[in-house]
Amino acid sequence: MMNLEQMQSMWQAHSEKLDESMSLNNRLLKEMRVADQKNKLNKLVISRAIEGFLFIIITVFLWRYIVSSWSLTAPVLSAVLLNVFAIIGLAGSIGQIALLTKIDFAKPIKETLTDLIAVRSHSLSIFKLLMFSAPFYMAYVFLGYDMAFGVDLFSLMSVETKSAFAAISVVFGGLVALLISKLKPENRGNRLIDWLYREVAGERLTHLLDEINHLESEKR
Amino acid sequence: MNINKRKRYLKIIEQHKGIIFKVTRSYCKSEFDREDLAQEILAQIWRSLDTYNNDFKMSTWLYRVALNVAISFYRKDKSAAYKHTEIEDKLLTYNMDEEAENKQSLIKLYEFIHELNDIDKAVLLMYLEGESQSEIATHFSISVSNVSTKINRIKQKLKQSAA
Repeated sequence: MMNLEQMQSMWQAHSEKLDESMSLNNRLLKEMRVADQKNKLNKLVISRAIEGFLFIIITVFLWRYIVSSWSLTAPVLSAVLLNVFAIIGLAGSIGQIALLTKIDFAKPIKETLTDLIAVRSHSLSIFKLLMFSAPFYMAYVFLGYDMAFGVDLFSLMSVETKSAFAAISVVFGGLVALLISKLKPENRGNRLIDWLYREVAGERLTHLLDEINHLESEKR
Repeated sequence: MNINKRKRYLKIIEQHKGIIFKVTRSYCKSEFDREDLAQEILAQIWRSLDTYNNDFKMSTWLYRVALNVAISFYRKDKSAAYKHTEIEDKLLTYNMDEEAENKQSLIKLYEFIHELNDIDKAVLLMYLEGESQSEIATHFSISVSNVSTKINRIKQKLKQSAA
């Protein structure tokens, strides 16, 4: 095998030959720009817009419920709480659309990778949002009961039952907080975190994270 | 559709098609993925053309776009499952036999590039194109010492593969 300097001179000769003899299929090139309209990033913008629209529907629906049933009851407080999560989700979708329209592959490689990681981390952010809402699972139950049967389940529960559900929520909340605090790229050495990254965010994100690690690594 | 942009685009691609060939050949083993990556690079060049900054040489700017796409490109060819399948209608066609005297060395060079991770591939390609370490550092937005470390690491790998 040659050294890098020999490689460099061979590469120059290769480049010259390519410029002389390589052929470009102009017909395919022209057709291809039509296909650009279906580009992957465009598809992501559309999917984030649909997701944002769903969050808007949920937010509007919950506000209507809150306004029409306004009183200091468990179902109304549940609706307020779930609305907060829906608004956070909506903000995330809008942020993603803004980020996607800003992505520029002519930027320095580290900056492009960082932007793409933010885009590809979206499903992980949604997962975190759902996990954060999980300790408040009773909010879904209270709201559902009131909407389906017109019953304020909380007011019918005994103190013991309320305490038991509260204790479960606290334990659940602690576990969720622990999991979310560990759900960072640098913890991918942990099998559970690595599995979540692969299954929730997908191989595209783990590939980008690996590449930014290679980029920043100064190990000899 | 902007006709001037279209003409300019076709002219640029015609002039610099070699860059697209070298990047796709370096990053993908299978013909299918090369074709896919070439399309992705060409689409991004079209998109980014409006923001082209004259401070850059066109070839340097194209390299940056192509490498950004290649590094972020998700390849399916982790295995060589469809390595031998032919594609009839290719975007870029080049016969390595054109370089009869260098063909084997060139194939070995591309094989060596394939062994590197995606970032080291990009560093090596820029180095082979004659970019200085500080220029490479600017393209990556990393320190010159980091670039120097990466080049030394590539040299080490080269020695190991020669041994």
